[in-house]
Parts: sequence; C-alpha cells; structure tokens
Amino acid sequence: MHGEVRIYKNPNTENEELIYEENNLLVDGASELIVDILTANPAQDVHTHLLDASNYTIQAISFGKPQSAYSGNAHSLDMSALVVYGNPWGGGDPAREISGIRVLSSTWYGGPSAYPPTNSYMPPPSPMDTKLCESSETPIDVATQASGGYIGYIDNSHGNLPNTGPLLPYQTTLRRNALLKGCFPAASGVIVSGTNVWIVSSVHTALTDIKANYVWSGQYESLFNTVESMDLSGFINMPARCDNWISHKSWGGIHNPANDEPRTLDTKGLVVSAEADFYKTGKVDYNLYVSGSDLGYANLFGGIYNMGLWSLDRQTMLEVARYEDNPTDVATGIHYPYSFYNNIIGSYLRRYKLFAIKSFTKNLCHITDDGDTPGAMSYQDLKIVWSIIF
Amino acid sequence: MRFVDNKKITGHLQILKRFPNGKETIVFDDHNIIVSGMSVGLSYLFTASGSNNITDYHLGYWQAGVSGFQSCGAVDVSTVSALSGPLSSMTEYGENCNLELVIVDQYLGESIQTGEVGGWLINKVAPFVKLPFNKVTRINNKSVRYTLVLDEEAAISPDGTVLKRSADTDSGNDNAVSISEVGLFMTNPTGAATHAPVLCAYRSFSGIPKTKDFALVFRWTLNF
Repeated sequence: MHGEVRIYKNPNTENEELIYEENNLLVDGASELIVDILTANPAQDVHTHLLDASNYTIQAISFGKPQSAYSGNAHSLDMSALVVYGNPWGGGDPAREISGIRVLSSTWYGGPSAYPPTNSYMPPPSPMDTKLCESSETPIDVATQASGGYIGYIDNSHGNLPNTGPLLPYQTTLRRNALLKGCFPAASGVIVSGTNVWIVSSVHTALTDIKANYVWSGQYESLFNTVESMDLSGFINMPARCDNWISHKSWGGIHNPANDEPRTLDTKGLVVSAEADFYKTGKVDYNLYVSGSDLGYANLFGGIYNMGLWSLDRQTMLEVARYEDNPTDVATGIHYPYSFYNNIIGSYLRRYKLFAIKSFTKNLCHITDDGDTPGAMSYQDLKIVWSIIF
Repeated sequence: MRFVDNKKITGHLQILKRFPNGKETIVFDDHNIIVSGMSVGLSYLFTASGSNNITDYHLGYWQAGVSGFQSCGAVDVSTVSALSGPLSSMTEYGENCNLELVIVDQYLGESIQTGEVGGWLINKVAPFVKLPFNKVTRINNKSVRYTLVLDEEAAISPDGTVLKRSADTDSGNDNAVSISEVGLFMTNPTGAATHAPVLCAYRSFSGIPKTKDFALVFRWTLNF
C-alpha cells in the first residue's frame, strides 16, 4: 500500500501539464484506520449509523507549513494596533479590510510584489506523525487569550493552515478573528468579494489609515470559501458530503449561487475518483483544485510546505463533545451525520486522524516576478491528484 | 523507525494442535501471504463503490483446504484468489462440528462464481466457515489476530479417523487427505445482495492429518 502525489498546472484545459510527481508517506494513522475497519464492533446501534462505511474512508485534505511560519509572515500582527485601536478595521466589513493591519517589514518588498516567506527549517515527515506540524497557534490566538477575548473554535492541534470562513454574517467576532489567523481569503460573492491585500513597508501610525505606506495592493478571492469546501480549521471536505449546501450558500444573500461560475466537480472540494477497473489496480484518486488566488494569499502567510489526507477520528468524536453552545455536554457526544459546518456555533464538530502526509522541499506557493508583472498577481490554478494504491 | 514510504501489510500464521487435556503443540509457525483480494476489498471501500456497512469489510469467513501443499500447481503468491482444494461440502467439515457453515458466492475478480448447497462442487465453490466476532482480537493499533478453530469433530471421517476422499471413481479407492491450506476472506466488500467473500490472506503448509483426537487452531495475526 503506497501513495503518489501529482500536481498539474492549467488544470482541466488542453494545456494541462504535470509539474510535480512524487511518493507520499503513509503514516501510522493509516494502519490504525484499517485496524478500525477490521475490528468495528458489529453490535453498535445501527440507528446511530456508526457502522456506515463512509465513516472509515478518507474525508479531508489540508495544507501545512513550518511551525515558525505561524508566528511570522502575515501572521505577525501588530499587537498595539489590535489592543490600542480596538477596531482598526472600523465599520467596514472585516473580510475586506483586515489584511490592512498586517505588519509587513521592508523584506516583503523584493521587487514589484514577489514575497519569499521567511520560514525556518521544515522537519522531514515521519511515519509517526499525527499532524502537519506541532501547532498552528498564531499571535492572534495569544492576543485574544491574553485579553480574555473569544476567538471561536479553530482547532490548532492539527497544524493546518487555518481558514477565514465559511461563516455567516451575524458571526462578526468569529469571522473577524478567523480572518486574523489567515490563511485563505474571503469568497467571491455579491456583497463581499474577496479580501484586499496591502503590502506595506511599515504600519502607518495614523489611526485612520494604518495601511497608508503600502507599496502594492491587490485582492484575492478564495475558491475554497466560494464553494465552501474548507472549514475554519483548514480541512477541505468532499462536496458530496456537505450539509445544507444550497440553503447555506443563499443565507443572507452573501453568496448567490446563480452568480457562481460553472465549475467541474473537482473544483468544489476533495473529490474521490477511480478508473472503472479500480478493483484490479487498487488505485483510488483524491482530486483537489487549488485556485491561484488561494495560493497567493496563503503565500503571504508563509506558503504551503506539506499537506495531509485525513480520515475521521471517530473515537475522539464519540468520547469528546466539544459543543460550543454547551461545553459541558460530554454525555451527548458527536453524532452521525456529522455536520460539515463544524465550526459554526451550535453545530457538532468533526475530528480527523492523519492518514498520509506529503512534504514539499519547496514552497508550493513560490512565485517570482516577471519583469514588471507582480508575482503576487501571476498565480495560476493547480490540480492536485493524490493517489492511494491499496 | 521505518524509512520507507509505503506500508506493507504482513501476516503471521501459527497452527496448533489442541488436545482435550488442554495441551497445545505448535505444528506450524510462519508468515502468510496477503493476496490481491485485500486490495480489492479496500479499494471498494475507499472508492465508496461497495457495501455501505463496515462489517462487510471484516474478514468474516474462512476456509480450510486439503490440496495446498501437495498440488503441484499450488504456490503461495499474491495472485491466489481461491484455495486449491477447499473442504468441499458440509459433510467434509463434519456433521457434528461446531462450525457455522454457509454456502455463498465467492467473488473471483470480474465475475462471481456460483455453486449450490449439498456439497457438489461447481466452479470451485465450497462452504465457508463464519468467523464469530469474538474470535477477532485487536492487539494494538497495527495488528489484528484471528483465531480459527477446526474442533475435534471437524474435518474428519465419520469414524473419527482422517478425512477421506474418493480419489478414483473407477477403482473406488478412497485416499486419506490432510489439511494443508487455509484462507481468510473479506465478508462482502462489493455489497452483493448475498455475501460474496473475497480471499485476502492465504497460506499452504505441510499436510496435517486431522483426527478427532485434537482440535486444530489457527492463530492468524495481520499487521498493518
């Protein structure tokens, strides 16, 4: 049993080109999952659907980076701006303004706008890995904890690149704090359209416009958040498993499905596929479409250096009920069907177990300027095909 | 620490004679063969193309056979999809044995071969022994042990001696046969209306003449 990762540029076009192909590393969580499969107690109550085979398959993919990257790059928040000014983004929608308070040193400006993240050593993967890095705790986590603020539920324990959404408009606090953590921009939509980015040489001291010293500005729109495939903790789920797809997208007019561009299925999240003769080859493909906009925004936060395939951690889900509205409700547990919108207040939460990991020696978001063309605006979409051969 | 990027599924088979006084004698102790059926079963699960019930992916059936080692065509390779000479009828397993026997279709790649109840072998279909869940032990997060038992009354002749098969219909002479192969099957990964087991692990060994004097215990450990 092994795995392979292939990455294509210009996906789903006649110019689709393979640019990367390498083996992955199956971790001990894969062994544990198969043992779980072979020893699932048949006496469990069928009404709970705990014996549903989908509970034992790959359910998510996520991206990671070195731990040092979570305290640097665009995560390097100006604490004084946050604490003293209180609400530096003013009355505007935080989804559009929040990037303006990033503290960006002069090292950000290496040409028109090609940012090489400043990260430390990325340790090699190990079969004993259970997460992408030790923790994805960022300065905003520390700041809000110190001030007694509420950051909402974002699970840092898996070491994933956290997300800014999907969140509903009334969840202002949760949404704002999620945006401060990064690492993917807001969705494209009718009212809100992406996240504005300012690369500044220094933070302006004027309270009214802390982004005055910008040297380049632009806007990124997240595909992951537009199609609502990624949760706040950075797990990209399978589109066929999303709950309330239509109703959630139309909530409050934030997203208008009619405005969505036609997309193939693999742009809407992690998609499992296989050839018709899969039972002969034992090969199962997991496809993911990553937009250039998501890559560009993630690069400002330190880039992408590894990624993981995850199955559900049913044991933890059953044992621990971390139900935000009722933290003491440990007896209830987390029940099937597990909601995808697991970071919204009032919903049940998923837990994941690492199945396989793929580390890159080079930042997946790396880009260079092309003459006067800003590198930050030159990102192209990628397609990731992660094959597991049983 | 493993420094390889793949995960090799392995297994180990230990065969014991267990006597009525409780004594046990190990008669076989060696690795097994994980065959391609394991890949078939897992790929049905992970492509969501097979059964929706996770218990259908248990290794819930097994068979014992008599021509694994002796047959010149029998080799222990991963392409094995069926036993060479499984016990072919309820009678061969023994009318008084404590095994739950069923006759179901076996999944053999692109088609399902069918047979009929009564012991008459068609297309190599033979009874399967159900493996109770209490014989499945999770040793740790990487290993599962299966305990298969051919009890004292199983796989013997009606007179309690070694099982005999008619070798030559012309002469009418019966030949004594020994247990010499065993296979573990995934219950029903394709989600067929009636179970269609798939061979996942196999091992042949030197023939063990089975009598009513002892039970034959197979301790089978799979490591992932």
